[in-house]
Amino acid sequence: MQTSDRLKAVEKRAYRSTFEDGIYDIVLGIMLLVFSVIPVMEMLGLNRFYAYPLFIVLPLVSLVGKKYITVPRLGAVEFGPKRKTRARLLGWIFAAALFLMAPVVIMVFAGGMQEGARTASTLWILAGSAALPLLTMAAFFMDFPRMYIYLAVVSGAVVEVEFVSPVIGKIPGCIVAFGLPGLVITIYGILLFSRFVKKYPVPGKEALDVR
Amino acid sequence: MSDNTGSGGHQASQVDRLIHEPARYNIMALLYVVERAEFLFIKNQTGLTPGNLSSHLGRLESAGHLKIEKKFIGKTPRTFVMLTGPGRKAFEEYRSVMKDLMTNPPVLIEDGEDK
Repeated sequence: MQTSDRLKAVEKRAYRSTFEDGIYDIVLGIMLLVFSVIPVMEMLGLNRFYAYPLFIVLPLVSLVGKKYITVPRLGAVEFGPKRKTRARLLGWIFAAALFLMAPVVIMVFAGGMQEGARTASTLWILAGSAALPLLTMAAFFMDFPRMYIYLAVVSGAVVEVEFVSPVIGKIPGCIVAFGLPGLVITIYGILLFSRFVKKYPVPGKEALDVR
Repeated sequence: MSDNTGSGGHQASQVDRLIHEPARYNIMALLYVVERAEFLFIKNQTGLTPGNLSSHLGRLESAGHLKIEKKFIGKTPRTFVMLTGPGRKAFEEYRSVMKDLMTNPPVLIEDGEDK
């Protein structure tokens, strides 16, 4: 029998409840904040490449958060084959992206910061431009509508920083373009997270295994 | 006398009363669209209390609609629930019967009238 619209709505509601925790929002917001503090790091004499591993670490932190915070409160669920295929496909896309970025990381951290910096900057710009299509695919495959809004914000920030920085300076330009939206998204994520924690407290044993 | 047959040929008496109960219908609908779910997830989605949910799951399991698996994750016992093949069929049949009865309501015929 065909799945009716009503059942599709049940599935969608169940699926989207897994995004109520705000973890992805917090991670994305922090990523934008990191972008905004990179010029500050450079001003303080720190190499900007020290910040880049965070872009790999933060998504991993979100996975850990899902496993140890979300699932124990919300309960585990396995969705249908369509969702599984989409998740697997997204995983492959991100793995491929990481694989393509690996030479950049190796060049920067093994080949010497200063020598590799120029080439690495070019490659990071390429990687940065790949971020937008990657996030678009993530929003689509994850069926995560808020991500499209964040994408618009990130795209806007990239354009904005080009126009604002020459006028008000690199550091304030980055703070305005990346820092403010990053802060707003992080705060929104924290609000979602606190609401989630209140709505779904850590269950007692009776809620895990009654029979 | 009433002819409680919809034009699709289903009778009101064919409605599966076990699934017809709203809480059990919600459980079945949720499990129909996912592969399997943890007891806690079903509780959160349906808004039922643990005791109530447990009792409904027990009845659906006794009817063969559900399969309940227990797993230990660390030291904590966790209960996972999934629809069985017959359970899936029963839910589809229930929906088909209800759809037929709703779109073609049974015609009430007085005694002595021609059908």
